Amino acid sequence: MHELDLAYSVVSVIDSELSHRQGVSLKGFELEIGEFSGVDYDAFKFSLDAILRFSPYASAEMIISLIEALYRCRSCNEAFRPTARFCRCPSCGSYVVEIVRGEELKLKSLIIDK
Amino acid sequence: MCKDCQCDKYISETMPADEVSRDVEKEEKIKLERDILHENNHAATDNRAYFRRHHIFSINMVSSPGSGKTAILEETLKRLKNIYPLSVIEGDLQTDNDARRIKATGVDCLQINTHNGCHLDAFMISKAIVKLHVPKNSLLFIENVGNLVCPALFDLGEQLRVVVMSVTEGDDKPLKYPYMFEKADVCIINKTDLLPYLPSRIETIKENLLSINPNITVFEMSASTGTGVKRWCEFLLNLVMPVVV
Repeated sequence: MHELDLAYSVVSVIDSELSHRQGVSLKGFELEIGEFSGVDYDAFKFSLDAILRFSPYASAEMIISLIEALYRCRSCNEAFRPTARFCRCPSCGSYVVEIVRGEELKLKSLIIDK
Repeated sequence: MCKDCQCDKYISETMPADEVSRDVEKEEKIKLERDILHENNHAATDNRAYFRRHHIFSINMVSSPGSGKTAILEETLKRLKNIYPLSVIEGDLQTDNDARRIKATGVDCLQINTHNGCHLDAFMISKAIVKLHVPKNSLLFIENVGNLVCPALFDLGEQLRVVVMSVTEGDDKPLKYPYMFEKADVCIINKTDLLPYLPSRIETIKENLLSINPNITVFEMSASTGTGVKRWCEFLLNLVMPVVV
């Protein structure tokens, strides 16, 4: 359950951001979670729901975008959707592939009432 | 907003256009692009700077429960304690059993009980190094909570990450838990003395391991018989005092 820990750090980032801005209320926030970020979506959402309910941000809307992974082959430069975390390039069979996206784990933005 | 019956959609359709736009104008979007692990990574960077300043070489040992981290540590400490200053941080949910085993070898040790936590984080380590008075020019072993999932995400500020797997866990372990094996610098394959009694083959384990992480350094070991411990200790000494070996 490291998702619970991560949910706490989301709230603490929001806390510290809003502490610079007096008198605003949080309407929502956007999160990005990559397919290969090592975080379970359901557990993360469950943890956030549970924490937010008892925070000053109970009414804030949570917008979570799941980012599909994309790889690129370093041998033939082909971009492809991986079938597993570790897979070969479907066109040339090379193991030397790099991850273009899919490891995101970030708080993208806060939506506040002016 | 309502996701269930889309009543908000109805409101926005029926509300006069100017009222809707005025509502949106009141909102402001603050772009953050902040990594959720930012706080931990920040603390880990502080730890890393502290280690470097004090010439402490830190090793984060991770594995599933029962693959032999503590047994490997015991053997390592016995061989190195008269050569180089050592200390150990032990992470477990409950009990100080491991800390007692380590202390029996004569090396300083601090037990962290995470209670319900499934991993050690960088903050726990920064507190522990102060409490333990880790000496300058020393080797610090951090034995993480036995778990092949969560500790992969949490940088502690260590210079070397060692993943331990035992041959009894099956030869496809690296494929099942790729995150941990991908992020490790060294893999110790433990309990090799049991290979004759198991269907697992060491070649298959290594093949799977290298397909996940081609740069990993592999050590075959049996902590209970002592096989392979010497090579591992030489490797460690070479890292901390390259002139000696």
